[in-house]
Amino acid sequence: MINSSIKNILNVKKILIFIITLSPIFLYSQSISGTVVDENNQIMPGANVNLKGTTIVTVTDFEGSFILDISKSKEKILVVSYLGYKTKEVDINNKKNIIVVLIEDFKALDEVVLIGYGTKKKKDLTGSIASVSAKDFQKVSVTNVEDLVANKLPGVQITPSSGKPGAGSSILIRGGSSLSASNNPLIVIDGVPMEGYGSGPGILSQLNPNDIESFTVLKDASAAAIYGSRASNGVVIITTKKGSLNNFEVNVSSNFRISSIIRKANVLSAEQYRAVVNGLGNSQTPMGNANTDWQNEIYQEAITKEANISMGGSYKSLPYRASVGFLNQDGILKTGNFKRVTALLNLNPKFFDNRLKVNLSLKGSFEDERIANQSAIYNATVFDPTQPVRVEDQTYGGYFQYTQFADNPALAIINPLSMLEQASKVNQNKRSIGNIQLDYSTHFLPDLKINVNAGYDISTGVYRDAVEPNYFPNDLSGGYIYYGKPSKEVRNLLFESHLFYSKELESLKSNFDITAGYSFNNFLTTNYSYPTYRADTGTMFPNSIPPFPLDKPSNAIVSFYGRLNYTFNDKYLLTASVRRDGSSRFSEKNRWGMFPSAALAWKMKEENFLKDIKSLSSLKIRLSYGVTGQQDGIANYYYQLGYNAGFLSNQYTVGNTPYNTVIPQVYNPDLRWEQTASFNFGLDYGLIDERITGSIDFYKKDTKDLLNTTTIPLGVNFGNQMLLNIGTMENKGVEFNINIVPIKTKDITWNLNFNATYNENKITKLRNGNNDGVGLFSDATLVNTVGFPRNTFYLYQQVYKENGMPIEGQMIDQNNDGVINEADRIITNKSTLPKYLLGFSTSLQYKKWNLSTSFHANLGHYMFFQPYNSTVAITDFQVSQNLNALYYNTLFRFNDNAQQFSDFYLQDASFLKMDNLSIGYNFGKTFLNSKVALGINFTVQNVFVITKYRGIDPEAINGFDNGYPIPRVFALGMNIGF
Amino acid sequence: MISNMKSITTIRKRFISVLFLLLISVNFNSCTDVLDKEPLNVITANKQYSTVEGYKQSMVSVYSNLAYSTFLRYYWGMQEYTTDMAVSTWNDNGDGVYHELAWSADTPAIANVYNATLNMITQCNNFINETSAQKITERGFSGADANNINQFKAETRFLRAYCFWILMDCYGNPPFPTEETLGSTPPKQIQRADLFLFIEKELKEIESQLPNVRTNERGRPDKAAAWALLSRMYLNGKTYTGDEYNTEAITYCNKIINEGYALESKYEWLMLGDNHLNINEFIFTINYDNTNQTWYSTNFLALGPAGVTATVNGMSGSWQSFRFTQQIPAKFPTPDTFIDKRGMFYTFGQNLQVQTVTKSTDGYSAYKYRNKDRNGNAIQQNNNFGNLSDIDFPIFRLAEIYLTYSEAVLRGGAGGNTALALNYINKLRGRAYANNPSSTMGNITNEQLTLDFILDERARELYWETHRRTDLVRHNKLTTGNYLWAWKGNVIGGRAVDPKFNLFPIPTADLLANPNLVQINGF
Repeated sequence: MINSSIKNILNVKKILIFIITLSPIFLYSQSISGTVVDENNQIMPGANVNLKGTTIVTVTDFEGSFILDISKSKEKILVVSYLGYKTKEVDINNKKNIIVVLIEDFKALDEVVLIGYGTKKKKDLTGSIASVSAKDFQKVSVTNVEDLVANKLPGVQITPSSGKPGAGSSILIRGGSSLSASNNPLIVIDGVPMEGYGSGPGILSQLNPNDIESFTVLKDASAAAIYGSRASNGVVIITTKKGSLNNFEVNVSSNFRISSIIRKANVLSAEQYRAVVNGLGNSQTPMGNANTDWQNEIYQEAITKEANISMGGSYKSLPYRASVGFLNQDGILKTGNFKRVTALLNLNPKFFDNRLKVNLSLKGSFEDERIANQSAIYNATVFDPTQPVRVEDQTYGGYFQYTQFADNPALAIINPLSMLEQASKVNQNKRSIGNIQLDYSTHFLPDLKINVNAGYDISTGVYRDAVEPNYFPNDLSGGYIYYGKPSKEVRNLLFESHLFYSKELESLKSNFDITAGYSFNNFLTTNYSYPTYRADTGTMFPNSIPPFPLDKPSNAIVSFYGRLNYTFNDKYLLTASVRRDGSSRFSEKNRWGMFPSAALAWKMKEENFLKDIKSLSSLKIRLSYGVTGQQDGIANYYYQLGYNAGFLSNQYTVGNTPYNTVIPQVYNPDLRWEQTASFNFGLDYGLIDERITGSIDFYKKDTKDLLNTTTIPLGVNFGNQMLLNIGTMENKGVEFNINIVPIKTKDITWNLNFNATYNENKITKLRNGNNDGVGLFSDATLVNTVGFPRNTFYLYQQVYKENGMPIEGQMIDQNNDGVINEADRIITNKSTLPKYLLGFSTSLQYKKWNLSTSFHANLGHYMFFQPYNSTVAITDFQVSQNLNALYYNTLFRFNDNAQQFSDFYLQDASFLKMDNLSIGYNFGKTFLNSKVALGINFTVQNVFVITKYRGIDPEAINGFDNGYPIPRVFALGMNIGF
Repeated sequence: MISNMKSITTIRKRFISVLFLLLISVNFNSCTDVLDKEPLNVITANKQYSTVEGYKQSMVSVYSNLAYSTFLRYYWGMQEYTTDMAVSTWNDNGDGVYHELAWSADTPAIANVYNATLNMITQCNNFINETSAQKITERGFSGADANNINQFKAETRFLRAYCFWILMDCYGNPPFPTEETLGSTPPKQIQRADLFLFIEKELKEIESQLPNVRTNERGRPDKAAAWALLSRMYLNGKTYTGDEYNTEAITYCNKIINEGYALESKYEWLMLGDNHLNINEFIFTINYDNTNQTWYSTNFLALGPAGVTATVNGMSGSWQSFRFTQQIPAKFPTPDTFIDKRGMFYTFGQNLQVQTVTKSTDGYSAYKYRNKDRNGNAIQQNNNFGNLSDIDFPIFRLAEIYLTYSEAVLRGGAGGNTALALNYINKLRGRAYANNPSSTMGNITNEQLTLDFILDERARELYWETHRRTDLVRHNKLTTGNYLWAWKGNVIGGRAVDPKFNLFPIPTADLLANPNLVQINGF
């Protein structure tokens, strides 16, 4: 049902035809047309053009042009306005076509930036805040919100988490401050902080990029501390576009994308595999006669279709903006598909002489996803290339399988294509996020504002997981169907209120404002469990009935916060804030945390000694300190001892009576907040009339009571892993950002942005275990060790032959005791964390053409690349498996224990990526001789990667390169506005 | 008029201001109690232990770890792959090095048994804390209820003692978590000889609180279970402490034998899917039932032997996992059941000699474990896997006690005699040769009864029942050149290896996590 309706709606072509046929309505008999430009002859799209004293109004298009129907009025004065520019009145008597030049109004040039629970003029900021608004977004066709700002924000590392359709990105701000707790920033959407399931950057995939107005990142603690316990990894504040009183606009955009795999794993071809097996003389399982490239079998060229319609304006005095977006995205891994419908409605009425401002925001999304089994990616890289994809025998659906293991398929490796085509996982999720914000200036005290914000985040999911009865691994038990409807329901509520008081004290050359507030967040999820059924007979599996039909994990945060801003003489700025948070995730004695911050800024340019230096247009110094916290990644009730009831299928029989089991679970009554104290020293500069702007920030972040899931001594608690406050870690670094506008003329505008971050991460103390020793394993090859960055590789040093090839199993005997063992592994001082992050983007506008590109590079990080490179995979595994081409560099034959941990496999994963290249053309209003403006653009995403790394993706998160590869995307987009 | 309007507006505005302030203050009330949240489905200790049944359920749950953890499968691997009893086709968790006698602290497989036993000990310690006299009183139990709970406590201490014995036998000087260290400090390391004394003290202390022999439910320990563990530990006392404890071994064997246990009449009944019927011989078992879905069940013992077909094992075709070295069939008169019915070798398609360790057709296997009933019918599968087992695993059975008695007598222990020793051995042989323990078929003479004979007889009787490594260590044959088998020390003819391989090292992960631990010698 739902599927087909989406398909219908997604018929983009129909929509476009519909809109284009509407266009003749906009032809006018008596009209005035013109172009609005600035002092530099730069065209100004979006300027407001109003016939004085009437409601006849329009907005300039992409070219800065307008047409206004003046037939119904005698008025002859046009009022042209634009935010940040002086409003201009023009006499149009007897004119048909005019050029209006607007002059920048420096007093008004106070870009307002969001800070937590309020806004502030950019020039008055005391903290490190990076903000990108709609006009500066990447001008490319993107499906994800975070792609809008990729490479635009210094110190912010945005990495696609996967190439899976609908997958979001991971956002890492200043290196992250946690070990196993979350490193995701807090995301606040239109004033609603997201939390719990889907609160991470994944949440952004449920927003439509076209709806986004601004994307702000609070980086240092003084900026973020107002969010206290949830701000250690920074805060991302996102606002959506709102309607305006003055104009009506409709925007339709649509794009079409083709994605394809960029780089496949370099495994042996069938021919090469045969040669290796023939050289060996035997293989565990016999070779076949086929020549199969298994990776070709599982990947496809995938098509994405997207359409968005938005409409903004005002109904009487009620400004509104509404939008609907449709996305239908196929995955490059066959059978994967993601459909999304998003809807947004923003209403922003004002009442009582504008004393009461109301912001009502409703967002809805419906997602329907078929998840392709990603294990097929791995299987395709190891499946014997001499085996055919399909066979005559239909026992297992006609797929080739290792039927000699029919009695115990767990020993076999499964045909990758059958994993995609015979198994299906479907996830459907309906979600709505909404809030109403009331901002009221009181009558009895005009400088006092009261703000109330109430919001919700609710969703309902349906999950179905099924395999066909003849799917090889499940054939013995006739396949299975698990159907959860609903699978999960989320009911998160938010209530906040704050008072805001501001006062200007002219006699003291001072002004100040105070914010004091309260916030309550309740998070409640209901997870439903169901039994599993046989796929062939439909009968229920005995004992698959879950012990409980549902569970309701919940947590809550209560917060009190306050902030003082003080400005003296418009030159010296002070911000101080404090937040006190209580979380239900901690025991009573550790429940409350206090998070203070303070920041100073000095607008040096305003001082006499700099005032006359013309080339320096602005200069400000900032200094801040603050404490933030972290409680994400802690299970809701982790501080309490509890017993989990086992499944009915996991009973234990004594005598003849089966008993349900109750097993005590690991718990930590001493769990505390993870706290990060940060210093920031920053400098904002502007040169040559702000043609060059930028900032430099030096920071140091000390995290204490680091949360880490750690191997604990056996016998202490229930289990060998436990979440503990384990130690301290520091991040220090420098961020540099520069924006240059080298050319700005009537025809050409050229923008350049470059940013660079150097970050040094070091673990400074570990409470558990020996501080001088290796520390804590985070996986078999990675350790967290005092004095080293987190996720440092801990390996043996390979011994090489003279020809440069590694000698199998031979490692350097570091302590010369004649034995190669644990003691010979060394901490390599090479980690998965990059030391340098570089971002570069540029755009060139020439008349109607627009060309832009962006790059980013990460330097100084390492990855462990260890595909099968020993013929043991052919001779000794249950099923002979294919090798990676790395085999030719090793010619290994055995399965040596130490070899698994050799630094031979450690690779420098530094890279330079060209993220996108885009060219656009604005036909402007001349297209179809109407009021309809049309723009098209062509974009290539993930254009190329330059790296020495031999695996698939040198940017894979945490150095694990077995994920869903990021595809290259060719996108053709179209934008129509009127 | 206008002013009136204005004042109404003003009133309305005032009203709104007040409303706002109200909204704010309402909100403050409900602030801190919302932070006390409890999980919906998780059971708190006070709830669990509010009834005697709750105590019992918790005790049974601790025992369920024997069946649900990886314990049995990996313990079996440690005890058999390291010896002449088995070579492994697959390299499961790195256990390929077992047969080579070449493991290290990093070998993943060695951590499985270590983790499983220490986790069971931790749960036992928790249960012991919840059954303290103070808690029993606090929760309002007295009289028969309190006695029941105290019995559960004794049963749990038995399981803890058994797990400590495993650790002592396999790892030498393991960590020593007790009910006192639970939840607070990393456990201290205990020396092997001290652990021996601790286990001995524990078992003797609980002896009186455990139910009388064969009065407890199947799968729960009685006095005989504690005696059986004591007799096994005493027989190996020299390994653990340097001193002989043969007299003590005989004492506890006698206690068991005098309680009326008897050998089942047919050896082939021992490891069948309905072997819960073997109440005459089995002393303590891990219980399996294929509706209880544990993949780490005895299914690997029925499915693992190479070559065995579905019609034979009552399940499905073989996983081709393990086979004997040729030294084991050689201990039988013929490699089949014609003479000694214990020789249930599976030879079809299998070569006697192990030329290649990982080649599943090299070496005979056996169909000792079958998921069938005594009538030969496969037990119906009632689970999602279609391949689970109903075969109970006897941790102690009478045959072992007979063999322990005899060996302890031969080793000079007091309190027994060679005539009885010979009699017990001949009962085993009577059953083996004639399905009748009283039969004289297969009987041996007093002269034939030597320590080497008993070691071989243990191989014939107890093969693939997790005894072999411990036996070879006790006879000083595991690492020395005194006895060689195919691929011992990773050479085809076998060779002596470093004596450190009489033990497994402390796994690296725990060594790093627990600063109180020192690696045992040689690793």
